[in-house]
Amino acid sequence: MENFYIVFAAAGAAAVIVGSFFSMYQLYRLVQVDAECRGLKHPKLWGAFAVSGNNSSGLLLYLVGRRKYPVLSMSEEQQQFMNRYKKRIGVGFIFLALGAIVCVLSLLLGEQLV
Amino acid sequence: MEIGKKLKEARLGAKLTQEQAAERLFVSRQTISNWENEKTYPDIVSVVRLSDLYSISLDELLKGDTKMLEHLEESTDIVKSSQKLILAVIANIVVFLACLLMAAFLPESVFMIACVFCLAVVSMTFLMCQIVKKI
Repeated sequence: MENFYIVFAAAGAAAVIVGSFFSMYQLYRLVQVDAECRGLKHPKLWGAFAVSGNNSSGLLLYLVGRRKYPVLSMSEEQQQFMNRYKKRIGVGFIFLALGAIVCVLSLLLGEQLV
Repeated sequence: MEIGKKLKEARLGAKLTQEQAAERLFVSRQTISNWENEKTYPDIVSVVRLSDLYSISLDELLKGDTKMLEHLEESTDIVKSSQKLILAVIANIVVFLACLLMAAFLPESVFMIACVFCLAVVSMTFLMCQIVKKI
């Protein structure tokens, strides 16, 4: 019975890892496209900056910093890419959240129920 | 009638090919095709340009297509999206204040900790999704 909960916790942890890496990569690409549209130099660096830092501080700093740079041009393709990345990030976050909940509930309640 | 069909009819009425329309609107031919097949919807600036190019009124283009109006509402309603973000921030603050109060006044319980954790994760995920939507 105890192993049953450990398996659940491990599956949850795996979902957290996969979800977080997937979301981070999609966020990197999203910010990269956004920076390109705003004419910022080194869009890849901005992408890396946005996914760095704890508590999504990199992303928040990017959002604050980009206010001075309005969108210069955005093609239909770029718009589609951005929408696609946003949807994928949403899926990644849901995966991450569900994984975290399953993992922690298994660890917390597993001991109580056994 | 839906906007894709209207656009196609208007383009044919103006005797333009997809390539010619794309060239004049500074978009790709694929974009014109996507609009006509309703895989994507044009933004408000493109709708105005299309109405000029095809000599068709905005009334005729936009009225009667609820999906297109929903798309325009979603892409232009900044107040609504800001309200959701503010709601997410407030929800997070409330959840964490509730955590602090519960930790101070209620006896420690694993079930309660589990519930609070789930609530915090859900509210945090909602907040992150709203922040990403703002990009």
